[in-house]
Formats: sequence, structure tokens, C-alpha cells
Amino acid sequence: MSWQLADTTLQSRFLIGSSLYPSPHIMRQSIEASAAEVVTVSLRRQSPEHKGGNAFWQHIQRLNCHVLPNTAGCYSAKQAIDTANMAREVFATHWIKLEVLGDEYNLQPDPFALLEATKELISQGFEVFPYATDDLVLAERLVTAGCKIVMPWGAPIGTGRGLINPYALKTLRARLPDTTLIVDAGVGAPSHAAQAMEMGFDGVLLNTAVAEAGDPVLMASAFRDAIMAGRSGFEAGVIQQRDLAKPSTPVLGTPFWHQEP
Amino acid sequence: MLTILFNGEPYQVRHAALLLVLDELKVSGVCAVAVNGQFVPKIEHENVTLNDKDTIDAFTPMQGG
Repeated sequence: MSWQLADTTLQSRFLIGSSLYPSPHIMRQSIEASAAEVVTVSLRRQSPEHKGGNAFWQHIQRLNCHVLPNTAGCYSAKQAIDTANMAREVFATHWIKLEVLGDEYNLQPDPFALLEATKELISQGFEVFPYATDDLVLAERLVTAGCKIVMPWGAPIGTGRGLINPYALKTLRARLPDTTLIVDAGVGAPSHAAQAMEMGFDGVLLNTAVAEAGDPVLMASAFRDAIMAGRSGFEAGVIQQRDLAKPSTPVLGTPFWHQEP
Repeated sequence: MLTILFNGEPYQVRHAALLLVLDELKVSGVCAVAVNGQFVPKIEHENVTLNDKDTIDAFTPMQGG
């Protein structure tokens, strides 16, 4: 079933990164197997003489996906704003995955600089996809600033720890029902992605869990299936948990049902 | 001749106009340019004149997560 991401209609709820793959060939095969329609990319200082960037860009263009440039590695609002403007020119898109980091140890977003950069970029016409923590107040401020999308982390980037604070993520979903929420970062296993989708998140963005898997192509398809299964589970309505057992087979009429055990 | 720092490396260039310097440095294709740390949109390249010891950085598409 199709869904709306900003101004674009998509079929897949899987957003995938383009980094860390063993080779460009495996990257392409993995992205194809994922069925993702949005691929994250970045910019790096590199001599155009080396042609590495252009070769990579040609690989991405052949995939016919929407590109979502990031501002990875930025530690101030100014750096992130400059990088976003460069990305808009290079990739010809107003979408930006806004990363403004505040801590080098766990790559945690700086909420203050993130909000500052978000306000400025929205005023410049960007569609901002802010990479945030799972903090409710920050998410609300980002939405108030004009974000249609918020991307809380499941866990710190690359850790593969899954959803370390399900309570906070459930709270975000409950309190921001009209905002597109995408779990970004920290997802390690397909079951983590399914869990996020069962909670009602609109999508999952990940990279390392596929790119560094033993078989990235197979893992990409595993995540594709898990995200679809999780979404179907959410739409179907997961039952409430109970403390007491309840027989699924009717007791009345079973042999010896009237006898003492 | 000007000495400029291109992507961290010193270069001697014959021109001062950014557009001509980029041509001298063979900067072409898909990339964004910053002068002295400030992004210069392509549409403004022809209006920028460099000074000795200015820095130029070129940014190209790269893998990202």
C-alpha cells in the first residue's frame, strides 16, 4: 500500500543507506533487494580529478531512487546549513537528512543546534528530515518549526542495539499522530525493524545492519520483509497483552470437560 | 601567480577569477565548491575573485548512511 513521504508517494517504507558495503556492486544489489525507494548519500571533500565521487553518483542514479543527502559529520548548525546548501546544488533535491552531532562518543544529536539549523533550512525551502533522539519535547519543537518528518534514533548510530527505549518511541508515536516518524539508526536485526513498524512508525532508515551483514543482499531482503510484516501487523491491530492465560481452544464440549482434573 | 590551498594542498594558479581557477584545477562534473569555508553556489562562480592564500574545497557525492 502506498504512503506519503513529504511531497512524494512511495510504496516501500524502507529507507536505506549507501555506505559501508563491501563493494559498489554489492551496494547496488542490496539496495535493489531492499526494494527501498529512498537512498541516503553524503558529500565529502574530494578532488574531482579522482572521479570517485562521480562514479559513485552514477551507481546511485542507475537505481532510480529518491536521494536523501545527509549532513553527517557536522557538529554545528552553521556547518550543517552550509552542507545542506551544497547538497541541494549537487543532488538537485530540497530534501535533507539533518544531522548535527553533539557528542563524539555516541554520535548523539545536539538538540539545540539541530533545532537552530532546522529553522534556518525550513526558511530556505528545505524539506528537513531531522535525525533526533527520542526526546518528546525536541520532537514537538521540530514539528512546531515546520518539520513534517522526525527521525528519532532507535539507538546510537551503528550500534545495532535495536530500540533501546521503546517507551519513549511509543510516546512519540502517541503524541505526534500526524507527523511522519521514521526510526533512524541503531537498528541491528530485522526483528528490531518489525518492532518499530508494529508500534506504528511510518518507516525505518538503516545502513550498517545491511551493509555489514554476512550477506548484505540477503539481509536487505530480510529487512524488506520484516518492515512489511511489521506494518501489516500494525494495520491489522496487535492484541493487548494479558497477565493470565486464556485458552484459544473452546473448553466447553471438550472430552471430560465436566470432570475434576 | 596566486598560491591557493585546494582541498588542503597548495597550488600555484595563473588566474584570480574563481571560474578560471576551477578550470585550471580541472574541477568539473558533479561537485559543490566552497571558498574560505563558505559555500559558493555555481551561479555565483563567475562573480568571485580569489586572493593569495585563499582556500578552495570541492565536495563530491559520497556514500552516506
